[in-house]
Amino acid sequence: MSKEMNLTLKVWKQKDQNSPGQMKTYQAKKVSPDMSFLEMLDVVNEELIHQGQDPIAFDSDCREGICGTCSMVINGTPHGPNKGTTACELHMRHFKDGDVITIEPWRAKPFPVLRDLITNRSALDRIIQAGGYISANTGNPADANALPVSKKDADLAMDAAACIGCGACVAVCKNASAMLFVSAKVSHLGLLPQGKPERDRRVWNMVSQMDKEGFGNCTNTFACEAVCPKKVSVLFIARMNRDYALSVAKGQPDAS
Amino acid sequence: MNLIKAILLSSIGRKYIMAITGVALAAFVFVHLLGNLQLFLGADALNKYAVLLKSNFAVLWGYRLGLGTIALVHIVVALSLWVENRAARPVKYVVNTHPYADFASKMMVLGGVAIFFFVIWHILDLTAGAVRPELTEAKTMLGEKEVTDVYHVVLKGIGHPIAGFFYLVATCFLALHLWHGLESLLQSLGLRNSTYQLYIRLAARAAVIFLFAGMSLIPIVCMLGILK
Amino acid sequence: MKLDAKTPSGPLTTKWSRYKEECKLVNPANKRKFSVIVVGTGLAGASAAASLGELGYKVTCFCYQDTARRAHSIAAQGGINAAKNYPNDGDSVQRLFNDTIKGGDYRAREANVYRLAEVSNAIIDQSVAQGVPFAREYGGLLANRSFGGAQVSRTFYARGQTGQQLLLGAYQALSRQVAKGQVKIYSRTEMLDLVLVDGVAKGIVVRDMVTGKISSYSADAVVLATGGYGNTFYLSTNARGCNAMAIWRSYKRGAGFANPCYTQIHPTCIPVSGDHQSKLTLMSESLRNDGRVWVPKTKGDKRPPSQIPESERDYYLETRYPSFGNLAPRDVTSRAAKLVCDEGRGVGSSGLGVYLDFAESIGRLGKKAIEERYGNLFEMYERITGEDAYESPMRIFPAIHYTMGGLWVDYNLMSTIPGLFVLGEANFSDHGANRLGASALMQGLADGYFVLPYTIANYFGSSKKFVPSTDAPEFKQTEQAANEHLKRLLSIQGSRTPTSFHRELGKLLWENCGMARSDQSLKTAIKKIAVIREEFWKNLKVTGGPGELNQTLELANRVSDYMELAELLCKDALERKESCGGHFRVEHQTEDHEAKRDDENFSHVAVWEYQGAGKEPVRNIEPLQYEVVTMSQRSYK
Repeated sequence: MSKEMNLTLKVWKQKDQNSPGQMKTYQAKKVSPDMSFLEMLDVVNEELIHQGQDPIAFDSDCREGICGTCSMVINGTPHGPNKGTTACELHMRHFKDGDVITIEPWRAKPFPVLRDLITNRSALDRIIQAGGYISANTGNPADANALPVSKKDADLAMDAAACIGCGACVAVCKNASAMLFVSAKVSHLGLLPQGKPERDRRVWNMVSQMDKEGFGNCTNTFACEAVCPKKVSVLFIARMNRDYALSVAKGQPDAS
Repeated sequence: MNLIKAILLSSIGRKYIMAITGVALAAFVFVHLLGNLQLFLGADALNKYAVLLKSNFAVLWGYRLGLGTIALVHIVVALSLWVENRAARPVKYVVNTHPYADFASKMMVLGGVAIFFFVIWHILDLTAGAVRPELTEAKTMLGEKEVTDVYHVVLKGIGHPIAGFFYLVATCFLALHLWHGLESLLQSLGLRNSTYQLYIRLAARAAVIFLFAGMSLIPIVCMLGILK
Repeated sequence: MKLDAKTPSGPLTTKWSRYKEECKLVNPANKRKFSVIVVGTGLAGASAAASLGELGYKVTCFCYQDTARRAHSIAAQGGINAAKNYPNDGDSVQRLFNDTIKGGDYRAREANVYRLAEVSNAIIDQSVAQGVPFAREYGGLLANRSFGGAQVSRTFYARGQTGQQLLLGAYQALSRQVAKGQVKIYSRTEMLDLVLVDGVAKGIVVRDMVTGKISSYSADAVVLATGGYGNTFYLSTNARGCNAMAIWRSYKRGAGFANPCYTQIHPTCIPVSGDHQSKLTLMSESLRNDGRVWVPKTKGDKRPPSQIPESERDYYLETRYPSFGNLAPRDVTSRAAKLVCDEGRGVGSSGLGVYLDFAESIGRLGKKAIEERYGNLFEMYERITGEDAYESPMRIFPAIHYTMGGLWVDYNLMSTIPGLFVLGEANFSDHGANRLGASALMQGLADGYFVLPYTIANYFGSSKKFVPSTDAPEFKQTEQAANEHLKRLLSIQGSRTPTSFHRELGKLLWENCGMARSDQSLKTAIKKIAVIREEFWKNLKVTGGPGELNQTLELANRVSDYMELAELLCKDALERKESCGGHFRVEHQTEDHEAKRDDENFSHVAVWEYQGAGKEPVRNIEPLQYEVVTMSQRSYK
C-alpha cells in the first residue's frame, strides 16, 4: 500500500457559457492511490462545499468507462496519461505526491463550455441525426439470420461501433477535427450489408453536418487514435475518405 | 453545384485537393531532382537536358503554368483549411504539448510558407536571373550551338556558400513537409488499410529519404567545389 | 387503489396475439394529433420514443444525460436473451418463459412474462436490421452463448458491450426520428414532477440542468423509462446520475409502487477501497468457473494472501455448499460473503471483501488458458485496483445491481394513474423477485419496440383526446411546488453535504436491508432513516443557486427522494414475511440456508399507495395466479 498524496490542481473555472473563465488552483490533500481520478475530485468538492465554496463542475456518469460522459484534459491529454482509459477509470496511483495537475475542459468551437469542465457536445448528436443510422422501422424485418455477415466484417464493424462518443478525438486534435468520431459511425454502418443501401447518402450527409458544426480538418497525425479510450483506429478515417470519394463520384446521392 | 460543394467546400474534398496537388508537386520535385542529378554526368549532359526542356515553347510554358496553377491551388486550399482549423479552437489549452502530433506535422504550415518563399527566390535567381544576372549570362558551346551554361549556373549559383546554405535549409523544410505529406495524402485519398499501411509508410519514408539525400547532395558538392 | 391487471382472457399462449388483434387502433392521420412525453432514453425509453415517432405520434423526449446515447443501459455487458433456438438445443418461447418465471421465484405475472418471451425473437431481428454488430460465426450467422439460470444457449452478444450496441441501435433509430422532426429531445433536463389533470397524467415539470429553468410540458400521455432505484443504496453498479425522481414523484402523485424490496445483489463486484468510493464495478460472474472463493479462518488476519497457508484458509462456499461449491447461485454466494465479513474475516483494507483465487486453476490449466478466458477482466481489475490477479487473488464483494421492483403496471404497461405508462427497469413487471442474466436488455427493448406501440394506441383509442395548456393551474401549482422544494433544499445552509447524507443512508440500508434482512434489522433501519431524514432537512448544505448548473443541488434533490424511498423499501421488506429471490429474510430460510417462500400468504404483488406526507402508505395486493406453471421450491442443487 502506498502512502497518501498531496496534490496541486489547476482547474479551469467558468461560471457559464457566456462568462469568461480562468484557471484556479486547488489543493487536494490526503489523496489515496486507490481513488479514481474523479473520486479525487469528489473529495476536493466535498471539502469545497464544506467551506461554502463553489465546487468544480465536471461531467461523469457510469464511471466504468463506457458511457462517454467524463471529459477532461489532464495535463494536456484528454482522459489523462493512461492509454485506452477514460478519465473515470484513471486511478491516482499513476500520480505521485506533490504533483501539479492541470485539468481543462474539451476545447473546440463546437463544444462550448457550459460550466468549468462541462461542455456541450450536442454537435456529435446532430452528426448522427444527419445520417448515422439505418432506416429500419420497428416492425417485422427479415429473420436475423436471413442475411449472413462475414465474421471479418462483423468484427471490424464492432471495432468501429465501440466508439463511446466522448469527443476525446476532437479534444486532442490539433485542428479540433471530429473525423475519428464520424468515420467510426460511417464505417460501422457501411461495413454491414444492412447499412449498404444508405452508404452514399450517409457519408455525404454526415460529413456535411460535421463541416457545418465548425470542426476542423483532419491533421492525419493520428493523435485521435492515440487518446481514444476505445482505441478506435484511424484506418476508419481512410475508409470514410474512400467512401466519400465514391459517393461524390457517383453523383448527387440525395436530392435534399 | 452539389458536386462543387462536395469537393471545394467540404473538409474531405479539400483534403483530396491537397493530396492530389501534393502528389503532382511531389512528382515534379522528383523529376526535377532526377534531372539535376545529371550534374554528375558532366556539363554536356546537363546542358543538353536544359536545351531539351526549353526546346518547345508551348510545352515549356504549358508546363510552367500548369505547375504554377497546381502550386497555387495547393497553397490557397491549404490556407483555407488553416483558417478553419484555427477557428475550430478559439480558446487554446493552457497545457498543450500536442504530444501525439509529430514534429513534421506541426511544421506543415510554417514549412509550406518557407518552401513558397524559397521557390520564388529560386526561380528569380536561377531561372529568371533577376538576382544574380551574371550567372545566367554565362554561355557555352553545345556542339554547334551556343547555349546557356546551366552547368555553370548550378555550380556557381548553388555553390555560393550563402545560397548553398539556403538550399540546404529549404531541402530540410521540403523533406519534413513530405515526411508528413506523402503518407498523409494516401490517408486523405483513402488508400491506407490495415494490410498495406506498413508498406505505405515504408515507401513514403524511403522516398523522402532518397529525395533528401539527393537534394542535399547537390549543394554540398557544389559548395565543396568537388565538380569543376 | 384498484389493481386490475387487465390481462386478456384466453389461453396464455394466445393472449398477446389476441390483444393485438382486438386492441383499438389510431388511424395514421390521427396519430399526428397525439403527443407523447417519454422520460429517459435507455433501451426502453429510446426504443419507445423511436417506435412511436415512426408511427407518427408527436414525441417529446427527456434525459438528464448530455445526450440520449449515454443512458446506463449502455453499461450492460453480457448479452440479451431470445428464444431463437439457433443452436438447436431445444429452446422455445415456452422454455424461456419457464426459466424467467422460475428465475423470478414465482413472483411475476404469467401473462407479462409470456409476452416477453414471445417478442424476444423480434428484438433480435429488429436489432440486426438496425445494424447492431452481434457476434457471428465464420459462416456469417449469429453466435450464441450460455448464461446463468438456463440450460440452453440463447444469449446474443456483442463482445462485452451488448448493452452499448443495443442502446446505440435504439439511439440511432431515435436520432433518425429527431431528424425527421417526429421526436424532440431535451437533454440535460430532469423530470421533477408529474402533472395530473382530472386524475389523468397529462404532463411533466422539468428542470433545465444548465440554466436551472423550471418549465412544463403537456401531452396526451406520459411514458416513464427512467430505470431503477438502486442508487438509494449509494454504492451500486448504477451510474452516478441514475435516480428515482421520476418514479418516486409519480408515486407521490398516486402511482402504485410495487415490490420495492425486490433488489438484486450481484456477488462479483470489485470491493470498496475506501470512504471515497463513488460506485462499484461489476466483474463478470463467469470468473467463478475457475476461481475459488476463500477468506482466512482467523478473524482479523491481515497477512497478505500468499503468506496464509492452505490450512488456515476457509473455502467457505466449497465447505458449505459441497454440491455447487464456487458456482452456488448469486443470492446464496452474496449472502455467504456477507456472513464471513460480518464475522470479521473479510479481506482488504476495508474488511469488506473475499478472495477469488485463480492459483489452483493457473497451476492446473496454465496462465495462458486463464488469460484467454478472462484476459479482459483481469485487465479491468488491474486498472481499477492496481493488482495483478495472476499473482495474487482477486478481491470481490457483492453489490446492488438491479431493482426488480418499480411502479406497478397492468398488462398495458400503464400505472395506476391513467395515461402514465412505465417501461423497463422502472416498472415491476417481468422479473418477479429476481432477474436472470441477459433479461434486462430483453425487457427494456420488448417494452419499447413491441409492447407500448400497441398498448398506447389502445389507450388513445379508448380515451378522450385532450392536451391541456401548460398554463393550466395544475401545471403552475406543480411548478411552484417543485420550485419550493429546491428553494427549501438551498435554504437550509447547514453543515453536511448531500453526498454525506446519501452515503450514510446507503450504508444503513445496505447493512439492514441488503443481502440479509430480519424483522429487527428492518425496524432499526426504519427508525434510523427517520432520524437521518430529519437531520437532512435541518443540516443539509447546498452551495450555489437554483438558476445555474448546480450539481450539488441536483444531488440534494435526488437524495431527498431516497430519504423517503428507503423507508418504503424497508417497510415492504418488513411486510413480506418470506424469502424469495433477492429478498432474503433470515427468519424464513430452509435448513440449508435457501430462501423459503410462503406461497400461501405471499403469492402476490405488494403495491404501495401514497397517502400524503407523514402518513403511512397503504399496502395493496395484486394476487398472482399461475395457470400454466406449477410453483416449486427453487433449487439449483
